[in-house]
Amino acid sequence: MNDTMDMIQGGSVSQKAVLQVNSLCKSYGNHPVLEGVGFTIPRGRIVGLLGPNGCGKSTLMKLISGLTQPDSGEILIDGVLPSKQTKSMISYLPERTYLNDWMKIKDILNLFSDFYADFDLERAKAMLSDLNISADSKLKTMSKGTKEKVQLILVMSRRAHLYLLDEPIGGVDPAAREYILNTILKNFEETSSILISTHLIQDVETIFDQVLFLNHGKIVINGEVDEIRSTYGKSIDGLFREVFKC
Amino acid sequence: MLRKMLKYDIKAMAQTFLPFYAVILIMSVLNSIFINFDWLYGIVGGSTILVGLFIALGVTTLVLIVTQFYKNVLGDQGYLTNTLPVSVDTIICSKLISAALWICLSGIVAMIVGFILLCSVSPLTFSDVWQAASSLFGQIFDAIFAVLGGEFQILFVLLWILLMVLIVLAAIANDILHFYCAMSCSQLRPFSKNRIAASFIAYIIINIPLSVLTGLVFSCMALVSDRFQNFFAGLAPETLFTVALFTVAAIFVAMDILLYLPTRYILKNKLNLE
Amino acid sequence: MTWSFDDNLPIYLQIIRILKSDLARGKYQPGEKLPAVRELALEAGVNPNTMQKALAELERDGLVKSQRTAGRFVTEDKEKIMEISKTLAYDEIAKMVENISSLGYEKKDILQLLERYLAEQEA
Repeated sequence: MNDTMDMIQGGSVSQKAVLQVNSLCKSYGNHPVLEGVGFTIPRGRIVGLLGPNGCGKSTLMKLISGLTQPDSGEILIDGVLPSKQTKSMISYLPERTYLNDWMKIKDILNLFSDFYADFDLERAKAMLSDLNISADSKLKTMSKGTKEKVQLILVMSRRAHLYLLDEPIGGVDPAAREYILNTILKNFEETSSILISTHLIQDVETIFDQVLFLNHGKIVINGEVDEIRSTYGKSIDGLFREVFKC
Repeated sequence: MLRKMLKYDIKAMAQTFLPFYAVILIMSVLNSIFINFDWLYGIVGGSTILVGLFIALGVTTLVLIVTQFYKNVLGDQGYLTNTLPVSVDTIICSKLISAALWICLSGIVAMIVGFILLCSVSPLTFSDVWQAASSLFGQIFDAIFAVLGGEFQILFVLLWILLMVLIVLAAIANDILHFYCAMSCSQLRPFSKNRIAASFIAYIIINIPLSVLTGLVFSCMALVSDRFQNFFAGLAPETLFTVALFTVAAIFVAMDILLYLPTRYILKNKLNLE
Repeated sequence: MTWSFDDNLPIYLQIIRILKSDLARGKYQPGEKLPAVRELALEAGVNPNTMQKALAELERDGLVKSQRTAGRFVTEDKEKIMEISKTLAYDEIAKMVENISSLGYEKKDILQLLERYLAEQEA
């Protein structure tokens, strides 16, 4: 793995970061949500976007995915501004359940294969069968937890450049949390990067190599996990509790 | 991409419409059997149910067109729809075409039901009704021929049919886009606090310029026709009819564009999903 | 189940310690092939890059050897592994001594205590 990574980072491909965000601002009415956010995510990283509820994590995700337009600033995904093209490069897991009620599993699998050239149907089928979900099961009759897992499987079955996972472990039980983290780790490839937003850091911080602390619309800490641990002498969770003390 | 998108949009509504059509057609056949056997209770009951079904079909069509767009584009499903690698135009057009398709199909089903009932009201057979219908249309065409005189050209008739189809489609699109535009307005900042109420109010507000516009254009036409009576008097009747059809079609298409552009702008630049 | 980590140390250092103790207690025998980075990362519940960093460190210490195509193998040098066991044991003893000293015992008492303890355990 090291060799491939060296190759990629040394080669011309990596000259462009997977994600580059420059002085991004967004406000809703008079209420500023993001105030000059800037950071870079190189290839092959799992990055934690950490901050309390309502600090702008979801808005940042929406801006990167192209769902919302910024007031000012710039977002580049592999050097490209958000557009139809970047939508085919980003695999986005929103907080909401977006599955159509009328669909069966096979319908949503077809939809993903139809629209995303990078969708690995076999991988998705294998993961679904691990959960004993058949192609004929109806989405309507599924529990919220199962729907969330199905959505994660769909998102992680793409071979995207950038994965945006918005609160994938918010409000799930420990068993489901482990399943979700395993699924993310299992499908992570060095040629892509994953940005995961969460406000629950304990048990998760070991999967990040880089973390971004977002507070009141600004990035307050941006660094490598192990560097932060040795500099501050505490876990990311401990540092988080300190930075975001009420 | 439009084809792929249409596939899913049509399928989404098929789940509701196809069973509905089946029930209505079965009911109308049953009703025509009751009529044939002169079974009064059956006729009364069957007709009542049929009327009820038609009202329900109308309401369902309306509700589905509205909710399909709202849920799939502006609701939670919008998180998927709006992050697919397709343009905003593809999304709107796909929704528009599938909605128009189901309206047309509902219309066709209504005609079939009318035909079935017409056949059973009188002791006529299907072929009798068919003959009566075709002779009726024949008479209408004869009347047109008579008005136009001998100079009648088949090309004109084809053009008129084309224009009339265009007008019907543009009018259907107008109604659908009116809903889409109103719902899209709920994404705008000051209105997004109560999205459903905002959509209702936007619908009514949009209606004002639309009806002013139609009224204005049609009255202008009347004015023009008065002023330039001589000019129009000089025209052959078929030309006049063609010009009239063209104008109506143009007005509807223009209104479609007027509703489409803001919808497109909002979905592209002002999307603000909850 | 994933591995558990302390809060205040870099994760890769903790992974190194866990892997070293795995080697010491013979979970991986000398000359044995190690699981792939991805598998180990999954088992530990850590980022593959972090696991990679830990393994690179072990490699630098000569405890594992990587062969370009075949993967990573535990060193065949049994003495090196013995040395690891000893180092780890010393670490534990150091901790114990520190803890007991903090209770007010002298160094010579500690040895006595330990002997008595072991004898009682045997009985």
